[in-house]
Amino acid sequence: MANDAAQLTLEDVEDLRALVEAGMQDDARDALLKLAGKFPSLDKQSKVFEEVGILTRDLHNAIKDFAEDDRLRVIANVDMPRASERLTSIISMTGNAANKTLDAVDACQPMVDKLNDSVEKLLPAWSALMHGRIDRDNFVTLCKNVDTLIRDTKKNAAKVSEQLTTILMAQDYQDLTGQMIQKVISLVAEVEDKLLKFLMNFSESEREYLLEKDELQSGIEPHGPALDSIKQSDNIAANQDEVDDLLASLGF
Amino acid sequence: MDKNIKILIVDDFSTMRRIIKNLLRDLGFNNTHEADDGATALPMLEAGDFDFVVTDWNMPIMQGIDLLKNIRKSPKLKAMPVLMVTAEAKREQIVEAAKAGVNGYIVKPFTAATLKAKLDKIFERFE
Repeated sequence: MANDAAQLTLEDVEDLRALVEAGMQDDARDALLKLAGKFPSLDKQSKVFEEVGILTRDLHNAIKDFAEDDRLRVIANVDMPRASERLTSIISMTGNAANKTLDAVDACQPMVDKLNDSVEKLLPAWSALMHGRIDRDNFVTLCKNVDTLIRDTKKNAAKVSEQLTTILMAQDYQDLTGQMIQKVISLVAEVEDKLLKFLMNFSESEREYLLEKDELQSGIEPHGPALDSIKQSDNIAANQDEVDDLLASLGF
Repeated sequence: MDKNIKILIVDDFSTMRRIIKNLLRDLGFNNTHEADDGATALPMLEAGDFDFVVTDWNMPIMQGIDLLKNIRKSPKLKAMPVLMVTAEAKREQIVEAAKAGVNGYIVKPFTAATLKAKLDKIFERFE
């Protein structure tokens, strides 16, 4: 206070007293603030208090708004459980599609193998026929074998075609899971937006700080498939060639 | 290469196990068996006469990297070739797997040709 050149006069105090006695609290407060303005050091302190006051009020409002936000309550009680349900059903739909496709492949493989074997067996006699060096008995056997092959092939071609249709139809999950994933993405974006707005009340750099902290997480913990947004990072091997290069540099 | 070698496929997703099993069958390997995580695989390896392990990294209970470390620690299994087939592609992870003694590392998604190339490379060294 020693630096403050201004003096507090008896008049100032009397004015203040009069306002308080008259019950004019608001005017009394303004007069007090005006008085404080006369003393630079006092004013600096009161500004700090004022800032803290504003911050406290903002924080209070932010928490209140956050707690009373009806949309948030819907998100927590309805949308979030629904999102996990959607994600769970995406796992089961993609799993079913993969299994259907694999079943079809398993069903086709023996037929293709059998076709290949039959042709292999026919080849020597067929080749003899093509060179005109076949006797009657072998010719009759060849004809019988070709007949069987034609019948089997016709029957199996229909079966393979059926399996190909199954494989085709199994891809319908893409459309359905795509729609579900879109819903989850918009929910996540909305929650992110709300949380960000809440955090912005405290610090502009909060997001950068949190992102940085997340990046620093242990390097060998499993992360699952690398996302395109982080694939550019030097730390991620984008494809098999990069993995091979890295291993080669380690003496593999 | 002996096509009758006994192979253990370790992955928590049954579809991925089926895909690897089918690819191995196409390459002529029919003696394949399956486990859904490291904790299931390790006792199977200790008890059985397996020649080769193909494992994922990210699995519940015991992860692939820990399975690999346990294999290298076991007097019975330490020389067993291990191929890692995984979506994990961080440099630290690949280095960690190399340090733990992995014999091959394939990142998902992968092709049948990649699997064949890595198998050839591994067995070339073991023969």
